[in-house]
Amino acid sequence: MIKLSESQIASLLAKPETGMGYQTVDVRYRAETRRATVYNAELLLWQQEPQSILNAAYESLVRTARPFEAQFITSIEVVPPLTLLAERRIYAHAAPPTPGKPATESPLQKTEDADLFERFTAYLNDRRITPQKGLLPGTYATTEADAHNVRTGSEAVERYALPNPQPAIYRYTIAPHEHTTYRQGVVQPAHGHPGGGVEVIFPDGTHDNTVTRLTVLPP
Amino acid sequence: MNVRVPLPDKWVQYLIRQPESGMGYQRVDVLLEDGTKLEDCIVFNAEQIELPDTHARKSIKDMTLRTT
Repeated sequence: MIKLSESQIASLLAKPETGMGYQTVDVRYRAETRRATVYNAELLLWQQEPQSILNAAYESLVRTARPFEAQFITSIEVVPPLTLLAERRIYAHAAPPTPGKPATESPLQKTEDADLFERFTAYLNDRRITPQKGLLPGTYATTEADAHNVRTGSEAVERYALPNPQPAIYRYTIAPHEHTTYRQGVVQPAHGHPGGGVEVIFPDGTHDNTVTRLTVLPP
Repeated sequence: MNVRVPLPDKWVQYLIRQPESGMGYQRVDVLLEDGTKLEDCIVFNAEQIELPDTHARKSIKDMTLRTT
């Protein structure tokens, strides 16, 4: 939570509100772009921060917010309403239509011939992928079918409730051998994201040369 | 405020032998050199841990993967 500087406040006051008393913004902060909500054009709350903070009196929040951090903000852009509307549609789509268990609580299954999976990450040097192009034991991914719902790295962050706000723009395709063990479940809401995507975990990893392709998505 | 801190290779090697908590991350409890215990810290890509900025410069003495 950050108390914005006077110049930042003035800049936001010149821009339209997203709703009554607040603006949804994309903030360039310490070399990252992060989503936040600014209340009353002066109090910035990161999307990942618990909304329960707001239960305190507004004056108290402003007093405890950190003005020092405002210097690390290099830009604040109000998110256009049409963008938010599109994202909400994605949210609605991503919200679990049928509640399910997380992968860790689901039964073991075996892959069939030609099953494909996808793994989204913000890191090009994904450490869960071995030099022999297999997955290490205990690595997560999603099904190929579910991955079709994700067109950008930011959508992956939302759908798979990733704690890293950096867009997961690297998509690795995994073609495991037939009879590879995995568990499949539903991503639970977490880290301020709705989840709702399909998650799979390979408890024993996958064989060499099963990570077959890297695709780079837009952020 | 949390900051990301690169982990020494010792902990990277430990973490890549442990299962993930979700796609691309692990949740850990850490014991710092000064005896501070921090619960439920997030590690990204087995190489960057998120710590409160007040503890970011301290060495990690022990690390345990959270199982719940």
